[in-house]
Amino acid sequence: MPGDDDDALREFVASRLPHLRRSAFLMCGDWELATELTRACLARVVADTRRGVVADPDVYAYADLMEACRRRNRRREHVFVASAGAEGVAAESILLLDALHKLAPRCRAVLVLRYWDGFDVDATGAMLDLDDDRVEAYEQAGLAALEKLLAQAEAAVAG
Amino acid sequence: MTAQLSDLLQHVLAGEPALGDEVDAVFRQAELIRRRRTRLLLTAGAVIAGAIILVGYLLTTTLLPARGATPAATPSHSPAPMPSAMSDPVLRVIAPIIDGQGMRIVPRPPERGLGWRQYSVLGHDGRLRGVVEVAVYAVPGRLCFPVPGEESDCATAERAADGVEFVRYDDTDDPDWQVNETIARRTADGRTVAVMAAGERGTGDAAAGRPALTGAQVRQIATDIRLISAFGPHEQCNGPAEGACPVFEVPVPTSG
Repeated sequence: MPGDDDDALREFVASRLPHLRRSAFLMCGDWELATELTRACLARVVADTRRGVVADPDVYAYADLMEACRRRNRRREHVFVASAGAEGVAAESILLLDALHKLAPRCRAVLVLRYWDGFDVDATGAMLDLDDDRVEAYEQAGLAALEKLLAQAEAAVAG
Repeated sequence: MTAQLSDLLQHVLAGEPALGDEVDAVFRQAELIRRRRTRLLLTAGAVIAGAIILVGYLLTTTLLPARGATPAATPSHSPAPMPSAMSDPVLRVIAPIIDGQGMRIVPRPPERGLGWRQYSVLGHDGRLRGVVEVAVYAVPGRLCFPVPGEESDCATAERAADGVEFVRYDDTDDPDWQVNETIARRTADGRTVAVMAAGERGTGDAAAGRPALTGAQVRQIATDIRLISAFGPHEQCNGPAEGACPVFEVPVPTSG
């Protein structure tokens, strides 16, 4: 990030906030919670960047956000997913969100970072504090489980 | 599946609420975080400083002696308060007579040796009133009590209680060197003491140079059976320790 002054920080926050919030939503399934977690995460990025302790704000932000989502999910017995009748939400999307939230938090985080945020295996591993092999293992397991869950859900809907 | 997942996720995000002033909210929260951290830092600093002060206080009060506390082994040459120190058995015999006159007696450096003690007497005004010297000798055979100026003669000893014989030697003719001395001997075992009270020298005044103890008081002390017993059984000023003993106006003839 060029410079650590407030303008550069504001530009960084404005550019990353929408994408981070969407990632948070995919992790927690609740826009309100996703907004809260993203705000807190970016506030820590700003505060720590001003202290000069942040080497890579992107890695720092995503790592912090994924950890916050994981902690939050651990404390919740049920993750809210948009109801089938919610306006503007297709049934297909609800099935996908539902399946995504049935995955283990690590698997979910790997899939979100790899397939939604587009990070490579190295970056994903750095954000989740995992080595490359573990990232790939979580990815394969997550995709297989997701495919199975979606197939089951579609069969149930069709039947 | 992998190729479709990104597209599927794109659809999931339909119905995303507007961001509003989230960017400003992020900076407001960052400011709160900064303040909270500053507060924590200050609090931690205060706690650490308080802990250091507390530990320092505890260590100081634990390791340093309390003000006014007297160590058990206080050197006896320090100015002794009234009444005169009673831990010294010799002093226990002398001090009551000195204290009774409103004066006090304290060890005088070098205060003691094998077979001898030396004390200073302070008047009620705190000024020196001379010295008191005590020495013990072993004279198992017959003792020829000296006669000043007559080396070949022996003085006739008087008898006191408890089988003690003595001779007083009081010399107050010279106002600058007034001495009251008594040599007393326990006849049973030949243990002999010399007690000498000397006034301050060079005062040029007979009253100021008068010894703190009269001749009668010196005799009383010298013939007190407790005085000889106040020395250890192996203490004696004749023999190897003789050179360190105080010099008396009338020395005890120990060589026979």
